[in-house]
Amino acid sequence: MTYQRFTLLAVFVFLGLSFVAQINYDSWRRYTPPKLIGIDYNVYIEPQPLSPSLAKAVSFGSTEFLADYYWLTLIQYYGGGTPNGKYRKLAELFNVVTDLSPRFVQAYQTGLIILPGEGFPDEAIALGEKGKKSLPDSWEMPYYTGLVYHIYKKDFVSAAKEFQIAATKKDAPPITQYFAGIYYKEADQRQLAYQIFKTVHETTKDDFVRERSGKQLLHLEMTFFLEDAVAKYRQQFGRYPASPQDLVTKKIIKEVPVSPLGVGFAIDTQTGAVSEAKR
Amino acid sequence: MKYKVLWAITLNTFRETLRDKLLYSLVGFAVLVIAASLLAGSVSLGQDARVIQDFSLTAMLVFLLIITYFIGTQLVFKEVERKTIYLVLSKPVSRETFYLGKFFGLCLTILVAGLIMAAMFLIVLYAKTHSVPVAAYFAVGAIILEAWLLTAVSLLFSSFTSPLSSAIYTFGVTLIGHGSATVWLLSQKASPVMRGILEGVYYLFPNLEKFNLRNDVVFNLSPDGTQVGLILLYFVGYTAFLLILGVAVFRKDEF
Amino acid sequence: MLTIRNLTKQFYQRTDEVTVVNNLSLTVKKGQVFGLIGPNGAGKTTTVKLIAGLLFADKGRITIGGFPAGSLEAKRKIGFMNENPQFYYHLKAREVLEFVADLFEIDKELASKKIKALLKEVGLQDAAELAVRKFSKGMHQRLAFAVAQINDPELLILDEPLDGLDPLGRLDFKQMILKLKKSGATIFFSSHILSDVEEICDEVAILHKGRIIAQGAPKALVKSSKQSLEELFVRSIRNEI
Repeated sequence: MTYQRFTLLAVFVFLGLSFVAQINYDSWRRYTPPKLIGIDYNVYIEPQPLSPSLAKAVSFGSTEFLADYYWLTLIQYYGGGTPNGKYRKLAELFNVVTDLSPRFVQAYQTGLIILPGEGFPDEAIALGEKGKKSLPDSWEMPYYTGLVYHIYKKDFVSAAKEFQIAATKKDAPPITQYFAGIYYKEADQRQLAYQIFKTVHETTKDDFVRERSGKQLLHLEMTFFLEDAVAKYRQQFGRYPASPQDLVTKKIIKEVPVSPLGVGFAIDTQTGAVSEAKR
Repeated sequence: MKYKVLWAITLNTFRETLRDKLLYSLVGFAVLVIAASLLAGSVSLGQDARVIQDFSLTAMLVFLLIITYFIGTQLVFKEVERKTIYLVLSKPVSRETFYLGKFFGLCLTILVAGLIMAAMFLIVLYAKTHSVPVAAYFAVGAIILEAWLLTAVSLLFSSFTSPLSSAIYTFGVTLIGHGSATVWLLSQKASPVMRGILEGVYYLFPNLEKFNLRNDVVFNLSPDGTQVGLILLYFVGYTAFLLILGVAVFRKDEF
Repeated sequence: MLTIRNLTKQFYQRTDEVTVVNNLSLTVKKGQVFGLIGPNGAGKTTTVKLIAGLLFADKGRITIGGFPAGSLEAKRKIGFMNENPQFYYHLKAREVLEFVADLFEIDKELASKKIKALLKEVGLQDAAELAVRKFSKGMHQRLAFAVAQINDPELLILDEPLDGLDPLGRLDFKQMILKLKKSGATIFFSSHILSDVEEICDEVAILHKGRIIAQGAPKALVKSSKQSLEELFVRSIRNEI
């Protein structure tokens, strides 16, 4: 064999050997249980982002570029799947991306959607707060934050507040203010919900929203009507009625109102509270 | 100053640097990186335009700065080492003319390299998004101005130190220049003496963030007339200061 | 044409101060061919560079045609050829001369004619379009000689013009210098090849450790000392005079 052929063969053999070793190494690191390799998490595939201040310092002013870099890292990290537990670095990555690019709308939106589902609702809310500061004209930031409060924290008052903020922003969908009312209602803040629905009904240009808010108004008026009736019943009989029908039977009211929302009313016999009947 | 002579040296320097293999490889690599931003953009969840703009503009800046560090710092050194400086300075050419000719020659090279990279960037961006934000043109212009200013820095250092030292010092100035906001913030929190020193550093070192219009391209935020005017004024003022200083040092050099 | 008075130049090597040119004085008249000879390290090249304005004198003065050396007016009057001349690698022979013509602000048409004539004179007419990086040592010297004459200088300064040339090259060069001498050119050149100096020069000065230790017309020096120029040179250096 000539020297050139031997060199060429040797190059390919050793390069091939290094490829095989690399592939096997990656596979070993990716799928070996953490305990066996002596660490509490598979750090091999876990990105280690720089702190935002350090990243800014080494960016030569190209903060948007570095934000894009970490954005792509985040996508690969989240899209790649992790065999060993939570996406520990997810919140940190969203944080560094949005610190480097405070006006990166999609990063906030994606974070607000993904983070709560992966077990980081508080981090999502913090991201939303940052988004609200950096993008004060955006209706999406408080809107998405409100959804997190609703779905993951069941904090309807906070959700309602967020939707109220969102509703004041330019280009916010007309239904945003309506949702604020819904949340206050869910939080038993009925008087506040009533005022919100009244305002929406009187000011909105959207037919669907006007119709829905009108129905909510009517439903709330019926609820207030029933609450007054329950108070009268208690005064007369020293106890709360078992159901709205009781109010009719005892001639406090003529008939049980029919909610335009298609739900019935129920009365708590312990507290007298009027609520929607469970379907 | 004899402008014909200045132009002759400028053109000669431009032609000399244009035939530098390092320049070709740097420009070629930059063009590749810009083209590769298409690939990066495709895995960015719909942020293609953003990724192309940020990656391309940063690549432009990085590669133009590398050209400045590696070619700019060798401009005068090579002339002395190869003794071609005798060919020029024994003729009726003042040292100022020679120095400025080298500077303008490299500026012309940087302009050509920058325009090639910019053309690639605009083609890639237009192919993907069918639009080019006006802010992109301002960002490209500002990158070229920054590279020109740092050329003056590297030329100043190279007139009294070796090319390697000159490259390191110029890189240091670039870091400080882009960290000027941090220097200012530190100065506001420091003791009076330290504050004076840090503020001195802030004003003395070039504030390169002035030329950073890259981050606004994604949001299509173009600078207004006042900002453009101030950037140009700063560039002219600071570069003239560097060139005057460089000429003063170079006038004393013997060959 | 060229007047040097009390010229002194010192260099600093670490902490030591080395005097390379020591209180040197000489005059070159118009139309004269003046040779500066000396061993390696005598200060020839330093003297030549001081005349050309590449170095600055510590003491003394040099005037060329009444103008101080190093001034733009003086540089317009001289044609300079340095030792081991080098050119920009990216240029062709013709382009080098065009570049130098631009430095003298010579009109393009006139420059073109001059360049053609000069390349022919130095024997490079066939290499006009050849890149300088492909030139031999002899071709470098010839091109440098052409460059030195592009502006029709009043004073030609040549530093070791025959150094490193083969015998044929040296012969060609000597003939070119003699031709210029016949036309009345003023030439100042440094060398350590004594036979060439004896052949070409009207006057020589022997330089040693920065000082002139003998000066005069070669024939007169030889006659008065009753030695050949070479013997005179060696004995002068060895301080036997």
